[in-house]
Amino acid sequence: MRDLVKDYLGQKVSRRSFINKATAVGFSFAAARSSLNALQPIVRAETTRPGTSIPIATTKTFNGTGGELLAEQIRAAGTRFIFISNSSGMGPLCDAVVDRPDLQFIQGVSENQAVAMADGYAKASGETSFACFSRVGGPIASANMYNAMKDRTPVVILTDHMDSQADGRDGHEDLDDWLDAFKQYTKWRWLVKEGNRIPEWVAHAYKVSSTAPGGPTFIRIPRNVLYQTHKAEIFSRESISVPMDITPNPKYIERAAQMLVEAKNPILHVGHEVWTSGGRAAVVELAELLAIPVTQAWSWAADFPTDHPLYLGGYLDPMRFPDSIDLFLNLGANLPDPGSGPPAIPRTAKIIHARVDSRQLGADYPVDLAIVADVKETARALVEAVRAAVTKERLAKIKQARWDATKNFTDRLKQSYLTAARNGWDESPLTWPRLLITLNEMLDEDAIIVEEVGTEDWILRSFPFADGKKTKIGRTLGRSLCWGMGASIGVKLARPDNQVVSLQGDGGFLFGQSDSLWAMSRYDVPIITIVCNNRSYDEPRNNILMKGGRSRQENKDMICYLGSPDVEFTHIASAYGIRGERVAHPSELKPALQRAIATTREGRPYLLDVLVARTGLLADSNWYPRYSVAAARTRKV
Amino acid sequence: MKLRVCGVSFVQAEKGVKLSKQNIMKAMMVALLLIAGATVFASRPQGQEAREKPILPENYLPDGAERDLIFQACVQCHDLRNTVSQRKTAAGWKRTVDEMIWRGAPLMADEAETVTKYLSASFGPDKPIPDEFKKKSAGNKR
Repeated sequence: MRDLVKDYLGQKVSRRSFINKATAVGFSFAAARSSLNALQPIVRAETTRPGTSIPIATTKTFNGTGGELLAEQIRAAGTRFIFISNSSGMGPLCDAVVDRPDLQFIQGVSENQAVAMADGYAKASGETSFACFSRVGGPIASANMYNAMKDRTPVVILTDHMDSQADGRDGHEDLDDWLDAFKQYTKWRWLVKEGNRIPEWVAHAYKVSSTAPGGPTFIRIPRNVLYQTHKAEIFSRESISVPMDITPNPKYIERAAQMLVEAKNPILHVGHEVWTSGGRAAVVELAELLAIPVTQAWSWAADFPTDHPLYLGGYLDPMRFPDSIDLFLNLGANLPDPGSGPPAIPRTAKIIHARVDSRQLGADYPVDLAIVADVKETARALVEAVRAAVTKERLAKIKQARWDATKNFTDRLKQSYLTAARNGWDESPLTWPRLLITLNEMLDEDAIIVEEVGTEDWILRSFPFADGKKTKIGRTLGRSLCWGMGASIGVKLARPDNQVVSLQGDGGFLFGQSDSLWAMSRYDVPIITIVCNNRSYDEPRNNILMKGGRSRQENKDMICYLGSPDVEFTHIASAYGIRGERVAHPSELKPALQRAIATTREGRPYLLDVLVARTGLLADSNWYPRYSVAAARTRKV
Repeated sequence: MKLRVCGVSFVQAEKGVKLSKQNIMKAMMVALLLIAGATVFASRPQGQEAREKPILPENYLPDGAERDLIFQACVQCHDLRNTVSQRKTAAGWKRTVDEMIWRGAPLMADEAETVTKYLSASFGPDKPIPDEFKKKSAGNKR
């Protein structure tokens, strides 16, 4: 297998040959495909590195229906899974896929879930994904289009459109401007009117989506154009790939390295471009080189190993440690929200901001040095520049005291968390730390946690998200609920050989996410869904009450209590043919998890409805503003 | 470290100001403005004065090393209104402090015990809640 991987990376064998040879030596098709997917980032890096052979851009001519042209183009772009929702307008694509078995439909019963699946697939695979649905499906899909836009996830979204002779009249299923409605949720959008240009614009959508900073793109094609026959060129994947591993300007790197070396109390703040650039290892090397404490920005990924001695957690204003920050190095994140008060980054600190998304560079703060470049390349260049700037002895001197102080702080912080976690360990309902720490113990070492719960800090504190350990995907930066269940399906499709856990709040699940159980069941997606059920929207309750307004004064939780009815999530799962069980006491957790793990190993999904404790203000309140429509009737009808 | 002027703490304002030299200078400027303001408002009717008097929750935190700890570890995510306006038993405060640590408050284990004792002693069920915390609203940071 090692030789086969070597041959594939050396472009001596094709994808198809790789799969054939891998299955011949005993690997399952799924395992072979998973291995191929895992190699894609390396292939992409290799093919764009100077001195390596760069594939020649090619096109081929194809004659067929608009639906067939579409199928040919998305196949040429490297797509295998089509995340689709039911739609009359997708008929031409259905017809085309009948004869193209390498294209696999994964159907979602609502458009929003189809986009969530595509988003999860893109995040886990690093590949651009494709979702399509009805011309009227956009509004319900827009929540996850927005999430994808905030996360800059490469997803191509396509719908049909009114027949080209009839659009623009505000007629049946039409609007004045269907594209304008999605302007804020997409990086680029287009209405294709000419059938022979379908591949051109679909290819363009892939290119725009995948070019960092990525994002969702949106295309509409009139239904009649999808049915008509056209002749057009199909664009190869290579011809629409734009390498964005931009190396930073050496003079800026030299200056940044000097600032880093001279800083007494620097902070390294990391965001999702670290993960998407594949730069986590390079960033770790940079942090370790100078023993720079690291803070994590809001991100759908864990951009720095959460079990690392230099990892502090989220950026706090003010930071307790280190004291008096004099340099703020931001790699791949937005700058911390300055809020409405004093700036979160002290004005006394110099700011270096490096990322590929130039629009966000230096936003909201005056920066001392802005660098537009790939984060991995920047980190690598900084490592080299720092090493060149100072002697080993000076480097060691800079590093040692800071390393010891940071490690001491983070060790004590971890111990404090574990001490606090032990308090209430045997309580029923379960405390969050009891659930999360037990999950970490019971799940595979390399499990993927797809999370959409309110407070990320306790997720980040409870799992080691690091190379060779667990992986975190979610929560989205957009934070529009109704993402996690669908996203976990996409993640499992991209990484079938990793254990995948969907970690949901009961509130988040009830944002229409039961739809995804249908796809989980139909396609045998072996995911463990854990509904952290406290019958409350914990975060909004605390946010509202902390304002001290009338709700707080009268101790009235107006919209956050979720009991009455006490939803039985296992019954919902059962309706979709998915087994599950409720965990009401800590002693039930491990046996339930064992059954969940065993069921997923057999190839079926499983749902655990875990009763967890509420936290914070009015945590014990079951009050809500009651109203009965039945009681308001004057006739019993 | 803290700076108190006219009974007002400037270790942190409601938004959690960093203890830099600039911020200390800012705090002193604010103090001077407050002194000036107090002079102007001295001749106004009592009711109006009461309405315009700024409420600084930190005024209600008794002095002590524990007070400094709270400013180092508790103000990053919320102001102190909800701290000083609640009344809980020792067990209740212990749970609150634990929950804050679960959520990421940078408080060490030994400090958590210290803060719990301090909050229990200062804001136990037997302590009255000041009227102003029953009325006017404030905000959390995030």
